[in-house]
Amino acid sequence: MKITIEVAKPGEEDEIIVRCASLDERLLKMIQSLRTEDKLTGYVDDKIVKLPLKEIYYFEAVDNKVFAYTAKETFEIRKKLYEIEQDYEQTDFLRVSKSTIVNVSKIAYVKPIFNGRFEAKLKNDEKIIVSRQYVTSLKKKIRI
Amino acid sequence: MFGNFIRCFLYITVGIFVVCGASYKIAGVETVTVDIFGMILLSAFVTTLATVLMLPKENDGKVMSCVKVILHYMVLCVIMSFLGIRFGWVDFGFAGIVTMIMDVGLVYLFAFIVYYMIDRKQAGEINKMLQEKYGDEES
Repeated sequence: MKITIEVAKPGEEDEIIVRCASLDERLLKMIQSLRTEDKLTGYVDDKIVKLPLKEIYYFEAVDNKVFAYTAKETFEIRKKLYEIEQDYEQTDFLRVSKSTIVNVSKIAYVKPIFNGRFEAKLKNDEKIIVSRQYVTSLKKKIRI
Repeated sequence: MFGNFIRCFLYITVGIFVVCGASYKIAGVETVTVDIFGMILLSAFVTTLATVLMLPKENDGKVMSCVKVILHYMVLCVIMSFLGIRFGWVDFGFAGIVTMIMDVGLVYLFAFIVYYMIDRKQAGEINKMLQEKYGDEES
């Protein structure tokens, strides 16, 4: 299978085009995984919710559970933090401490605080801590 | 961990050099022996070791962090008082130990300022990159 990557023009939405003679099972599975990739299953009360990744501000591990935080709500995610880190390595999500993975596109700004750590102010006014050891990977992630 | 140790060692060494230089200047000492460099490096090494081992860790809360910083400062004062008396930098006595405690405080302040200035520069770079890459995106 040939894979071609083209750079989109500014303002153009990211698009995946599948060109094929016929849609076989292999291609159907690939398309299905692409369609569901940008959503994550979250749990709150007794409800199951499909969370668009772009709405998640950060993930946090608390008491052996992982929670996803959107602008105003919190959902439990039935995955380990390291699994989320691996699954979304190629997206805007980045581990910034032992217990937190942040959506870098939701960071408004960072500032240094006591003990050599940084505080990231998110666009919903929440604050999370960025450990010094993850600052280099944060710079790598957002480097243009 | 090693990178952190080296960075810390560098800042503390420079801090000790600065404070030593200022102290000798104030005391009116015109010349120093070459031995001073070895003494400074040894002091910096031992205090860096204490720093890397004792400074607050990522998961420490505010209260624990404050307690660790205070303990760290006290340990540095003990180490440097011992070394300072050994190296002949200060006399064994109340005045000598108070002098050393103040000198440790000055080196502490120097290292803190250097770390903070570097962190501010890093934060500035990150914020600029964030604005360039995501500045137009709505939250």
